Amino acid sequence: MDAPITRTLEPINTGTSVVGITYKDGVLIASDTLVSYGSLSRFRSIQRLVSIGPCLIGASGDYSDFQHITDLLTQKVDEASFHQDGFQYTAPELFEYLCRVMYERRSKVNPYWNRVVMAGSKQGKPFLGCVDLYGTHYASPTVATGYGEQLAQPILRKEWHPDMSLEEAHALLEKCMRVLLYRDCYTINKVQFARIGLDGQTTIEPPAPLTGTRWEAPLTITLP
Amino acid sequence: MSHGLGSGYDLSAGTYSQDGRVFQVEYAAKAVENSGNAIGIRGRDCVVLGVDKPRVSEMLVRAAPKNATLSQNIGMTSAGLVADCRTLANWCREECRSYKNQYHTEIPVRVLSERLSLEMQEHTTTSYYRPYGATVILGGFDEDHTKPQLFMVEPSGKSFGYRACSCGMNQSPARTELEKLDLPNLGAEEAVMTVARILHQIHDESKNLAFELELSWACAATGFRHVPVPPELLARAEEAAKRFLEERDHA
Amino acid sequence: MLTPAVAPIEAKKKEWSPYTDNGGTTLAIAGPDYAIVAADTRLSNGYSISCRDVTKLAQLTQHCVIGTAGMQADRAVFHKLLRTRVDYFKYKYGKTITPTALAQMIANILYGHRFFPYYCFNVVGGLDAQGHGVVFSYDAVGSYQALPYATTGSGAQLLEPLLDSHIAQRNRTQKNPPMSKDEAIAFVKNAMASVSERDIHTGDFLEIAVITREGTQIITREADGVERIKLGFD
Repeated sequence: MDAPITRTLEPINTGTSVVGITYKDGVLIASDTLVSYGSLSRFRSIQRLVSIGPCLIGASGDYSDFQHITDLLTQKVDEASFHQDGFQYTAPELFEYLCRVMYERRSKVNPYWNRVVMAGSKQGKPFLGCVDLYGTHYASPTVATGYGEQLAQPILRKEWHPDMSLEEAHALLEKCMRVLLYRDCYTINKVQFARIGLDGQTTIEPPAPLTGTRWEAPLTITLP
Repeated sequence: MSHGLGSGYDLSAGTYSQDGRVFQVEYAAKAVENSGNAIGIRGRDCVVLGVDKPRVSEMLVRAAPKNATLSQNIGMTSAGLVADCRTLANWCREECRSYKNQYHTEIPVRVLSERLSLEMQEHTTTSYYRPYGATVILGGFDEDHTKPQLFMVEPSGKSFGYRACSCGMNQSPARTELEKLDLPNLGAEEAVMTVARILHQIHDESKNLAFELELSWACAATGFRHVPVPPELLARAEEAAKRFLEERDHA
Repeated sequence: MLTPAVAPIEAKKKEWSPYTDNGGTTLAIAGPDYAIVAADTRLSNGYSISCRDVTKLAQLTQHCVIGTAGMQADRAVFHKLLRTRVDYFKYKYGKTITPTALAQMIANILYGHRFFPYYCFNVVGGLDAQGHGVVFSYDAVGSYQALPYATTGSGAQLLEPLLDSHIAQRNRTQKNPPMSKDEAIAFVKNAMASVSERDIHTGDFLEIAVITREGTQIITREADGVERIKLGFD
């Protein structure tokens, strides 16, 4: 008898929120380094932000699917570079490709169980896009996946402005990550930031704990 | 039935001649000998690949590249039917990709040469195929970057590892020159100069065909990636090669 | 033969729906010498707003615009497909497809996907050969109809009676003359603003495509130049 066709009907090893914003000279994104197995904090030091050719990607959802997507995109970028004709994909082009891949899989009712954030630049301006497991996609100066969409996005929309400096952008994302650390069960205090400049230069910062979090019982806190 | 050279035994790769030859394969080798020359050198911690591209027309602005990057660390050059060479380059790229997909490791050059040789050999066994009219030189590094690798695969499917190899119209004079080299002590830049020199040297001037030189390399300076030789170095190498020829002619 | 007394227990199958509804409202009006197609730009995801600035309109020819509510991912490929089909028509027949022909083609494409439908709820607006406005309204599987006005999407139920009253005017004792183009634009702005008050999936910005003999003008967001139409709250 033929084995039944199996599909991802629920994600297994999952990563939680990724948040991202554009700033004056590029795009900054952040996530924690936890990959959960159900409610078990299974892998505590996994990098979920990856640099691929002209862009930076990060994802929440199934980690194995994300690894596969990373491979697909890397392959695409490499393939183009081997021809040595100077052609390089831009971030929006790669994003469109990723959207088509995500939509193709949802149309086979066998989705990549992720929400992927992609950062890069487009004609000298920062580019930040997001695509989910249905192929729903959009570009926006502020993006947040997972619980970040409920908890971080309102903060980002309120405080973001187009000519933020890197320091301001960093502070804003730290604030969001702190809120998520307080309220999202599936997160740990080991957070990673990565940025991509308008020149395509990527910097992935080493993971570090957030500072300034407070865990005392509320009664013992003296408000300023 | 044909009454030519092969007396009818040369019409298909699926038929032996009475004295045990497969003429189609030999004709494929002839196709390689009708084309420009390609050279590969394995020096000290480097591989250099070079090819001369005949200028087929005075109106040609620039010939299409012939050296191909197959994976990050592996490149190829070739002699023979240009379209066959391209097909094989793409075939190799696909092989590199699928290997990396399966093992998350770059394909070792030896493995690639073995697979390519199988593919080319298969085209010598049935009447359905025409053997590839191309000889391919594969050069580069394995993922550990320890040792430069160089292989040459011929239309028959023959594949060997070399310290230096050549194919094309003037493969024998080229080999004579290559044999004179102190290969284990040849640095990357020196190897580039040498390949340029030999390609100029073996060029048949009586036929008065202009040609374009293409060089690519993989070495520590390129981070062990296979890339075209930078234009500045290429120009310097060509200039030195031409000077060498002039001095030789004066002497 | 033995028959089991109890039906075998089947493991409950997990399922995943390949569909999602991203909300949004479209509106189209056919005037005597114009047509209007309008839609908001909100992209909803459940109770969240994923993005405030995603267009639902696509201009397919000089005199034809489609507006699509429903699932954004399906809409993106559907609009992409229509654009190529419009190009193909031109290559094949040497002329631009008319809104009426395009309307039938859209129905055929939707019906072709009868058993795995595009989750798209379309309105199409354009001008016919005489220069009169035409509007077509669709369901997801290609059932369609030419109408004087149409609305689809999450706010359609709120809009429909308003359009019945102001455009069709069937139960009015005193009937107003048909709206001029400018009156219609003003009406669309008011109507969509009203919908955005009560439908959480509709809002943020409004895009209005105004189709006249001269061509199509899209009154839209600040970024595109003309006018910023903000719906609802800041």
